[in-house]
Amino acid sequence: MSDSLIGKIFDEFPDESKWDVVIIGGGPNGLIAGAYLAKAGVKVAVVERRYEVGGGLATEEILFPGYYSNMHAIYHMMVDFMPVLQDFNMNRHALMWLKPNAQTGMVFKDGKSLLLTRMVEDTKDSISKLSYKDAIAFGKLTRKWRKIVDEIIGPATYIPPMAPIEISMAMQRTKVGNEMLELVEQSPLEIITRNFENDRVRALLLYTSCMWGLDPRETGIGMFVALMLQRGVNKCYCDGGSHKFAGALAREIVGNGGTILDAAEVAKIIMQNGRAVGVQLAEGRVLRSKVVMSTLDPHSTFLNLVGAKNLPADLKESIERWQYDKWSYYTLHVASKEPPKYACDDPWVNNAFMVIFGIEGLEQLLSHWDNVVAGKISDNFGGHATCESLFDPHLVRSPYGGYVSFFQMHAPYEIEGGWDKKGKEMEDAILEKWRKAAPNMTKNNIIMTSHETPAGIETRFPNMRRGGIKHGDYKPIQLGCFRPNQDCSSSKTPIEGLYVCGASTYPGGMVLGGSGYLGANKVAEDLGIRKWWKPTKPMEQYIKTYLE
Amino acid sequence: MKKRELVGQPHPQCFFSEFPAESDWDAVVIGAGPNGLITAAYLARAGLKVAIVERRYEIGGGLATEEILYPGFYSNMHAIYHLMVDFMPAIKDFDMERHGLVWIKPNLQTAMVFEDGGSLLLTRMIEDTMDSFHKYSDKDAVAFGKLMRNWRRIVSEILAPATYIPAMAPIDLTVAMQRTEIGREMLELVEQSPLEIVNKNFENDRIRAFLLYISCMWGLDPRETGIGFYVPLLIDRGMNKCYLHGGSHKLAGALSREIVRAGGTILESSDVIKINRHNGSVTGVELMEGRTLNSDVVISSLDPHTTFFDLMDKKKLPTDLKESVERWKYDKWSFNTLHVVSKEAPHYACGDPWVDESFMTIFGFESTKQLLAHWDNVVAGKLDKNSLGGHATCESFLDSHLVRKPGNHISFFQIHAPYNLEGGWDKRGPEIKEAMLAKWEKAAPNMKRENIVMSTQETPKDIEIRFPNMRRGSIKHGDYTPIQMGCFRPNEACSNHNTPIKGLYLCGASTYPGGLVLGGPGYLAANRVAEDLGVKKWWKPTKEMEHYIKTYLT
Repeated sequence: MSDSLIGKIFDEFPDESKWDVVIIGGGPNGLIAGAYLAKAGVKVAVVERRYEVGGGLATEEILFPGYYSNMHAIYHMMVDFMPVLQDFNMNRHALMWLKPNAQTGMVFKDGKSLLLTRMVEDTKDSISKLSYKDAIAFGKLTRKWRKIVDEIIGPATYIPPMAPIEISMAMQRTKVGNEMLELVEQSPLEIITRNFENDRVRALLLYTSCMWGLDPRETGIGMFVALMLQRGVNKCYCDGGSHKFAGALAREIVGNGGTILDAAEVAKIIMQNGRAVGVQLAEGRVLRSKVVMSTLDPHSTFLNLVGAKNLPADLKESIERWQYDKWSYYTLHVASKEPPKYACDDPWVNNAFMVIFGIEGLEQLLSHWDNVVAGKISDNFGGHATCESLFDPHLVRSPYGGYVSFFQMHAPYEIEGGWDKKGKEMEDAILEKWRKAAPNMTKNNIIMTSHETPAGIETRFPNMRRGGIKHGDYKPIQLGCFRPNQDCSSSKTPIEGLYVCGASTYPGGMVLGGSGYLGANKVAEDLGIRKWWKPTKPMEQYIKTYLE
Repeated sequence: MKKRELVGQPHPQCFFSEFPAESDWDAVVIGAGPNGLITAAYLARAGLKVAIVERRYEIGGGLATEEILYPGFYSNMHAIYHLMVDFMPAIKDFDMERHGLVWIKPNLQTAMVFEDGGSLLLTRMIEDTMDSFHKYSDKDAVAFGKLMRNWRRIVSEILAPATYIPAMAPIDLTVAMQRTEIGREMLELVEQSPLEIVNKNFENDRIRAFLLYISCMWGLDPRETGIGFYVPLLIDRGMNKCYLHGGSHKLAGALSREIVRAGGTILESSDVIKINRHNGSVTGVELMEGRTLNSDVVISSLDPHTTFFDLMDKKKLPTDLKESVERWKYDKWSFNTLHVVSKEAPHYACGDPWVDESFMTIFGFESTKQLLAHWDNVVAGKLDKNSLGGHATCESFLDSHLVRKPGNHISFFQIHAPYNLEGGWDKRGPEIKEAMLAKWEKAAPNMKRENIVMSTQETPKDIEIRFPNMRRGSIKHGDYTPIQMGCFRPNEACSNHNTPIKGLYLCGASTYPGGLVLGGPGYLAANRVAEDLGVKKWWKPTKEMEHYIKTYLT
């Protein structure tokens, strides 16, 4: 359309403006970084491509009309540790997280079930139905692992990464540290099979350990088993929907004088003499800044926005080597008249935050994952479901009432036949499987459905490239000080003025809020800005024990 | 809505539930649509301790941009045509530019296409519209030019500024308008029906149908008298529709940030279940979570039934008020909207290539008779698949942000539709959708099956489900009829934004001046509250308003 035919009104946001810091992407990490810096008096602009901030903190009316769903980040595992929750007054936004005691259930064809709970004793009760020995082992291990997570991995999430050799040395200082080191070199599968004998218990614990993208057979990531099992029984739900957390963070930014530009797409990072000096938006406006922070995936940040020709050779190669998540997710959202009622021996399962079904044992679980990695989904699939409205009455708006739930499974980004076709087919297969586990999930009970495929994830959030919700696989050479590579894992990049603080940067994805926090720390240090915040108590203890 | 109960969890743990069970505020605003946000933004900046409470997960109300064509396409679900951007005080009083807001006002505003390839075009510039009318009638083209010169003054000197000035009784209005020539001209219009005005001034039937559609599309009865001044308003503003770049929701975001910046509080995902009263005065609101927000001032942007009957004890209302709420009539029709993703933008089969670039394109009507018959059908609860028509907009043509899968377009086709459709929406929805697609293809032959990537429909029932205060799918929270307009909106006791209940104020579309993102009720309610509380106003009337006050009110 020719411009002469259009009258523009109020186009007074300057074509060129000056900032201290421009943050690309208003997801959890971008918002956290923006909130810390804005409160430090830095002139910040957060630029978000979508019509609404939040990124994976998305609550949307996908079951249209009248039912809200949490599209991505629903299980908030690090609420107990995230510094942002102590540093900002989240109370004033009326944020509330619920931590159900019944955390993760698993149901089997024969009506037996297992339940992981917040309280160890309750979990032991459940496991002892299948194996007394495993129940005792779980109790013992939990006591040990809880310390590893509470004293080491939890606080270390918010402290800059160390080289593996330094970690090894630091960890030697304590008994807990040594125990963690022992774990590292074992694969999740080894850890689980070594400590537990019952096949179903093994399947449940392996699923919980690896569901967010660990390779069960890989060594070097064993400490994640302790982390995932511990945090897996401490999942929190943000009342009113995950998006409420994004709204609160956004208001902290604005309340402290920061600027949020929504529906604004960054087209390029402006380079001058090898330095990042600002960004240019798709509509042409230029935001100049001392610092540009990107929360996007490595390809988007370095290859698309900076441009391959502006990159040092090492950096370019490392970006090209970057591997996205080994699997993505297929999610079926459902509105139903009744909540799913699982046919099993434990009524608590129906109140669990997450219920795993479709998996009968370790062998099946492993072959399902092998399939997914090979780009296939066969009849042996299984996954986890959550009835969100059990916890949150806000999500049901329809006068017809009912409940919203979803079923989620691991799924390949590329699938035979393509997702456009396969997407609908999977709906039927899943509903059949769901009905087997929860017989009341009949056609008659279901009001409506909607699914999100790995391709759909990428369309909605292009930085979740290949449907990678963590912006990159969790494997030894992409974790810790190697995330996204040795040059960039402390947020600063070899390109002066450019910082990275998204899920592809240490410590990683899953609403840890770590990358954003660490990015803000690094930028504050480099700009010589006084930090108004202090490490949390667990972080202080960790620093004292291991780093001084 | 009942107070919530936590699930039957033996040992649930709560974090950060420390937002106090009881908190004190200077003002609580119910509903964060455009009006609620505007009221809260003015009052927060005036130094009041304001909380605005929104039921949905996201503020904005009708300022909703959502990924309804899922995944990858954003649609403006409700308020897309912003008619009053030129006059809205909120846009001048707040620094909207710092939020990067840009409104686009296309010159090609509204087109109408006919089966034989004929077309009409209403543009921002009067001369271009006249050129288009010349194709059918030289006389009408000249008449349009003449009328618009006067009507534009009626709008910019009277109707538009008056939108942001408290309502007057009809008799006061009549006296005031006598003062000027255009005032008297406006009075003459009042007593004519839209149909009379259009028929009297224009001879060509297509031009008549075109102008009648534009005059009445937002809910005027074409045959009703007493609302004639809306014809110049809607035609003039219909030539000045603006599109908010990035999606309408961006205005909501900007307003909410003005509230927060001024120290106000926004609570999302929070349902107000009760307005508390003590000795006849308002004392605050109660939320579903069980929290109480204490405040001597509660400002509701909801529809009259929700505010007075659902949130308060109906039995304890003054009888007059109760009766007037019971008499309240919701919109005479709602809308059925078909959102579509297509590979190509609609290409209308008509002689004028400009039509394809128009902000809005009307099709399906060949004559005033057919148009009137369609509206009569709708009012009677019927939709005739063969004779329906409506207006379409290709949003991605104006805003590439909305398309996240390049190479596609998003458009919508909207028709007037009854809330209670004969046969029921659940049953007939799919059939209506098919009929609309067929109609669209007839007007724009490339809108055929192969071109359409996906589609989804919002029925009047769906509107109500999504926004319960758009009761019966009423986007304006209540019909535009003489007895529900001006100082009668929603009734004489409440049209100045305070109510017979001490401390309770109204600021929604059911209060003067009405709906359609005017931002009038929100602005006026803020003024009223500021005056009643004795708070110094940091804002001043716009120039146009000052001129109006000087000419007619002092």
